[in-house]
Amino acid sequence: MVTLEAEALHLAFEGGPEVVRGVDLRLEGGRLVALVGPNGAGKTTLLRALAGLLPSDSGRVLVDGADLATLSARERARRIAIVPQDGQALQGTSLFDFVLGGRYAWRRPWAAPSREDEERVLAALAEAELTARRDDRVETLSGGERQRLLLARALAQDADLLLVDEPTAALDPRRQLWVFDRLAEQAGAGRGVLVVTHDLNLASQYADEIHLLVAGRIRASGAARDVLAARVLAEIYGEDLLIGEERAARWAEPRPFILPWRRPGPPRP
Amino acid sequence: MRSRSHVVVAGTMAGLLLVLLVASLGVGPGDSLDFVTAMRGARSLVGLGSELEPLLQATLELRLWRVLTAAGVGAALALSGALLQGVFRNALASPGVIGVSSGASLGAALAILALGGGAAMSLGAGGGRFAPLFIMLSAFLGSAVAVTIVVMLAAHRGRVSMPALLLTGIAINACCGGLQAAIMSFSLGDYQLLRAIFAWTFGTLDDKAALHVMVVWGALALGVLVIPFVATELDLLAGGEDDARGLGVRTGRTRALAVGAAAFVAAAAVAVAGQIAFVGLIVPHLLRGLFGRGHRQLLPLCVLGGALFLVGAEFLQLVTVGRSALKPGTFMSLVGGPFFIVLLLRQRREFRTW
Amino acid sequence: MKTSLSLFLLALAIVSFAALRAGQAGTVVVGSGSGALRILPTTSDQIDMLSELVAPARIVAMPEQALTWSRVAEDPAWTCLPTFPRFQAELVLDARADLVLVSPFAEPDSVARIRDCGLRVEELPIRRDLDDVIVALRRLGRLVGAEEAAEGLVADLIARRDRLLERLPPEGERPRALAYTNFGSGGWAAGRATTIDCAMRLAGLRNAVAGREGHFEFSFEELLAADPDLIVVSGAFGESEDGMVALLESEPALARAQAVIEGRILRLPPRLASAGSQELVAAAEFLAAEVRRLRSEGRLGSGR
Repeated sequence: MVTLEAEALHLAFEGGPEVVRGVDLRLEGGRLVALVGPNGAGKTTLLRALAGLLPSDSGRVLVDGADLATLSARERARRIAIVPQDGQALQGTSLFDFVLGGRYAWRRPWAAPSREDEERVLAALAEAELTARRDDRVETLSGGERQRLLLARALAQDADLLLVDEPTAALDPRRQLWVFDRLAEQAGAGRGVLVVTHDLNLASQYADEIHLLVAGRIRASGAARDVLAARVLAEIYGEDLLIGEERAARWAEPRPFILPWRRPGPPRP
Repeated sequence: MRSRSHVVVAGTMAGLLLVLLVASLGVGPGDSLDFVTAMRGARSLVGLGSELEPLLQATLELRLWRVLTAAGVGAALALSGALLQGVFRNALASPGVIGVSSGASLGAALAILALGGGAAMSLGAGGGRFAPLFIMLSAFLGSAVAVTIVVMLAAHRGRVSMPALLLTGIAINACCGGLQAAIMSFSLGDYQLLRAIFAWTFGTLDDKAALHVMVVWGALALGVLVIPFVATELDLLAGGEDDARGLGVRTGRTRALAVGAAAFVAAAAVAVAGQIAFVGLIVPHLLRGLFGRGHRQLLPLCVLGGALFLVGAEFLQLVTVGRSALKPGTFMSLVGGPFFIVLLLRQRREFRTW
Repeated sequence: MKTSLSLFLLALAIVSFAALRAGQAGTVVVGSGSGALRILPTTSDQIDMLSELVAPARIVAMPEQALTWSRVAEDPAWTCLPTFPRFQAELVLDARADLVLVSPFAEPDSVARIRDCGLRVEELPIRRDLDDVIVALRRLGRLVGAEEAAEGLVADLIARRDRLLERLPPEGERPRALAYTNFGSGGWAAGRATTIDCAMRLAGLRNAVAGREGHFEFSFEELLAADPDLIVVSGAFGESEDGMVALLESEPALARAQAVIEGRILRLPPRLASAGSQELVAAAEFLAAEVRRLRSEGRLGSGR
């Protein structure tokens, strides 16, 4: 079973203030973990460090017990795939070639893509429902399609750990659920999935475990009902929230849903 | 399918290049060696048929070195431009624009100054055996320093903005040009020194020898060897530094290899033919427009396309205006200046958001 | 990508093969050394000198600029010769010369290629005064098998020089002159160790910038500071020495320079201007005559 662990992790931007201040975190294969928190809490920074893209000031990140910093770039990419928040200014390549980028860590430097590479790419495109557009150029995609394309590339990477940054920002409700369904499938297939998201409701519904990051520290961890409790949320987001609960057969206990809801009277902090 | 069509394109370009190379043997500034005789003599170069009478054979060989130098220089400049554009993710990067060529020129001038003019007149006529190598090395260092400065000044998280790139280029070109002018005006008294530096600044494809061809083709061969190690990586870098690293690309190594190779081949081109502007800008741009951005295709095609471009330009010049043909640097600036303006106009919308 | 790489390596192999073969061919020896019959000069000075030593038929081609700068520029027997636009090995081979004369400024690569072909290339050093010219004339005479003509010319030059020296005014009465060129993009002056300096001295002039050597850039401020008695404009293309005079006369900064106020600006014709040849003495005679004319017109007192 694959594991990703952060131990007493401290992170800062070059010469800037500390953004992440001592985080311990554990992600196991087969689980979907959500990392939620207000803007500027350090969620994306933490995600980059967990992916090995940002050196830590102190503390370390372990993959299956091995220090991430000692792995080569290729070994790292074979174990950890990242779905970035936005596909920057993607242009010039076909969807197929773009997703093929996910196979980089598996290919030898000189070699043309193998049959397996191509099969994986086609499977990932199918998974993201983009098969019909495989030869189109990346710049012709809509924002939502682009998000799916980034997911497809990460799936083609075939890593046991999937780190996903704000996957639903530009999507309509149906697509939001679609994305989380795919992530849950990946977790169901034995992969460890960590999702950074603003969306408390999606986190509540899909996550096996939620970490609430506030000002660089983990404020609460655990099941949705415990972490997204009214008392905790009021402290962080203020009182203007409408909180309820839903039950489902697949859940042991009900899970909360949260709506931004302006209360009468002057806004409270 | 896709890769097969690129092989067809590459094959066509290679064939066209070969035809042009051979045809170029038939034209020159002089008229004693006509096309038919030249073709007869050309067979002797590959071991078939007998040689021409000595003077004509010598003329034929002059034309051979000229056209092979042109091919190597064009290929080197285009490859250098394509690599730099890939690394900086910016279509305006090229050895001339960002100061790699002028850096090489300055490096060479400093080496000549250190050696003394007499020791190092130029690559072909050099006195000391190692003088040409020393000058080459110094030219390479000059161009490497120029790129390093661009990287340090203009690059932010691996991305280079248009204004930053152009301003840095202007600054470096001005610095190198100024230093070179200063060296030249201090050495006004020593005409040999001046002559040697001058030959490096305003290059020519005239009167080259086997040594020139070996230098530029040798450097090009090393540059081409780098292609397989950076092509896919440059494609992935197009999405950004983090993105590429997340996919397993060693971005630092990729950048160092690509920039090093670009500086090296550009320095070799400057070493044998002086500064020839715009080849490194035009050729990658045209080929990218025709065959897409994938560096696995673009980089090898640029090697062929650059050679084809410069050899073709020289051939056309010799056929149309003959003996009073312009020097390649002059000609390229005449063609390249307007091209640059067209490029800026076409991307006007993009530039307006600066 | 493998395909294109192999294509490239194949091309490299072909090139190396051709390079090796051509390298083996070695040098081609053409013609023999002594008494060169077919001469290819590359500067106007060389043509000046050759015009007194050999018949035009022995010159196979001459540089285009000789049509402006050489003394043969108006001689139809010479102007009908083939010309070449720039010094380039193929053009030289084309002309089938057996002696190529070059200056130290010739493109070194081109010289090397011509030598590679076994052609005889002789470099004439830069001439800075009449003694240099005499050395060059004698050497050229030997090279083209015209020693007697060369000696006769040298004797004539020495006689004419002596005549000039006899008429030299006493040291204190020699006007201070400045050799000046300006095509509109900044001025140049000639100091010691230049042929124009030598011509001015033979003409009874003192170089106003004798403290410096060679040709150098020269600003209006320096011109005012030097304040010469007269200015010799030279090195002109076609008629533009008139343009140069107009430039000097219309320049407000120079309105107080003595030589400009009093119109003492001498125009040296192009063929005399950069004379590293026997024309140096002709230039001196021309200047001496001009100085006499100015004196007789009362426009030039004795030197200050």
